[in-house]
Amino acid sequence: MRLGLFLISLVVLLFLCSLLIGHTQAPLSNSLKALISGQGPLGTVMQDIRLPRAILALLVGGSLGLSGAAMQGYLRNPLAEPGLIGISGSASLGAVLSLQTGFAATFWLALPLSALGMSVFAVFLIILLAGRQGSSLTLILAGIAISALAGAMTSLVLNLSPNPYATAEIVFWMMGSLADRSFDHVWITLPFCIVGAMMILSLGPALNALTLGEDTAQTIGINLVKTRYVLVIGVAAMIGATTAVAGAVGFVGLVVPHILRRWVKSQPSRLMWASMLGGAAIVLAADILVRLVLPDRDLKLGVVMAILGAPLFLHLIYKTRAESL
Amino acid sequence: MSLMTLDKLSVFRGDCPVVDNVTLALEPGDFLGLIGPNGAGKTTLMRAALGILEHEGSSSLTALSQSDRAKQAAWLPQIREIAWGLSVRDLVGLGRLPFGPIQKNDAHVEAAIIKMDLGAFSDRIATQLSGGEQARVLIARALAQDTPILMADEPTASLDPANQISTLKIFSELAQDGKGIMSSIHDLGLAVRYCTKLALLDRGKLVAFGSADEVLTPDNLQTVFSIEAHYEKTKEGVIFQPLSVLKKSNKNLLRETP
Repeated sequence: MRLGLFLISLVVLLFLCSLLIGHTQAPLSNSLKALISGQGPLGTVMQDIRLPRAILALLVGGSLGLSGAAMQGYLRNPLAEPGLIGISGSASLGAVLSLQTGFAATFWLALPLSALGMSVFAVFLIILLAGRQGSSLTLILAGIAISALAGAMTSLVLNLSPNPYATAEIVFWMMGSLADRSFDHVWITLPFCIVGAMMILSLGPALNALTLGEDTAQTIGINLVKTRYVLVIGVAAMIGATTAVAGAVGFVGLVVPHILRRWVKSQPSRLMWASMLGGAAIVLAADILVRLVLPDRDLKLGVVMAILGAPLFLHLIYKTRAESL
Repeated sequence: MSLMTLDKLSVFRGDCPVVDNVTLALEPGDFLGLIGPNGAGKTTLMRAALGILEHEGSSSLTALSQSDRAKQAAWLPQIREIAWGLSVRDLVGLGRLPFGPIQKNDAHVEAAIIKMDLGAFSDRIATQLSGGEQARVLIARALAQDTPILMADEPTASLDPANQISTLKIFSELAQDGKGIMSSIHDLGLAVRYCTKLALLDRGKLVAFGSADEVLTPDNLQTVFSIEAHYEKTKEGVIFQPLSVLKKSNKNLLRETP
């Protein structure tokens, strides 16, 4: 309970910081007034630039943290992450195709919609491949196959691209960023995130039961087939929608559950809530860092996240190793 | 009325029957020991009866919905899986999942912890316990489910002698309270002492069913297990000790003679 309170306050604090820190400097009281009234140039900055950006950071981080915890719980593997079932790779492919063909330039939401479309296709493919029956292993294998295929197709597009500007644009997009997003982006992501999060959070008892293995989970009343459908569709909804607007942001789904596991006594159901809040906090923080470190160079969120995440992960491995000895 | 009935239950792996036409019933008060050599189909029979495996024929359990089945039968698999470092109490508490949200200080959980003598461990992290202690935690988990039927696969494997005896004693007390226990067991000496009935499986077929006297005949021991054994009724109960392995060719010879 105390952990929940701490994480919620952390998220609220970082959300406020995200609203107040940026290129346009203004006193705290003016910024908050402008946020509510929306008047003047500062009002536009607050309402149309910083607010959607902060909300998207919340959605992206929450989705990645929650999906990561759910995937780890379902697969009973601390190395699982949301990208494992191939949805983020497929969403990236959709975005890359729309950038390359010029479809992305036709209207505002062309890019996120192409990315979403490709994620939906990937979900059908993964359910078809993983089948109605079978263990979690088939899901991992199907996910790896789809990830590899989407990655190869993305590389092919870059490989054959005749236009160096499009190539640069694609490469930058793939690094993941929340800069210059609008409320249009929030509205197309939000419903998927809410529905996905509700589906995934309903899996708490099932993931707890799976601690004892698939056989035992079934005999304490868990329907594994249903659990898998809910998991795949819920994760896909959140990851597809957030990748579509923010690009691929790595490490959050892998690292956040790791950091928080010990604080929730390793219970998969509690870890999901904690990781959702923790993921939101870490992405909000990284997105603030992006604006503070090199404000003029458009540092990409995904790059910062990986630079922060990898050493953190190494430290966690080091600590786990020390404990297991 | 029987707690569970299996009617012509068969499980096929490809064309090969792993469990072949088994019909039996588990009555209240039964502690049924499922015996047979490696690969006889003991585990497969129990998993099919629980509805985890696709099968032909019928099991009265699979007629129930999955959530009702979880209130009727608990299952203790041989593979002891504990994926995360939950506390012992939280892990045992998972047995209450079929009955709605898990309550703090649930009486069934506390009783199971005491029964398996885990009081001193209840706040320890389960994955940091020894193999035998983990086995007891998982038995407690199954006991906490408090179902009319308990099925266990080799529950005594990797337990020390004292814990083997006390576990089987707990099972036989549960049976005396009117529950039905079905457990595969390799240690025939323990099976003879604690089980009320034995079911002998060989290559998927139910070869013999009944009391130890009826099932562990020299003839069955020879044809199914290829062993000779000492069997004696004493003041301390039945003593059963396998003595020597008979030649395999003998076994095949006996099989092929009409």
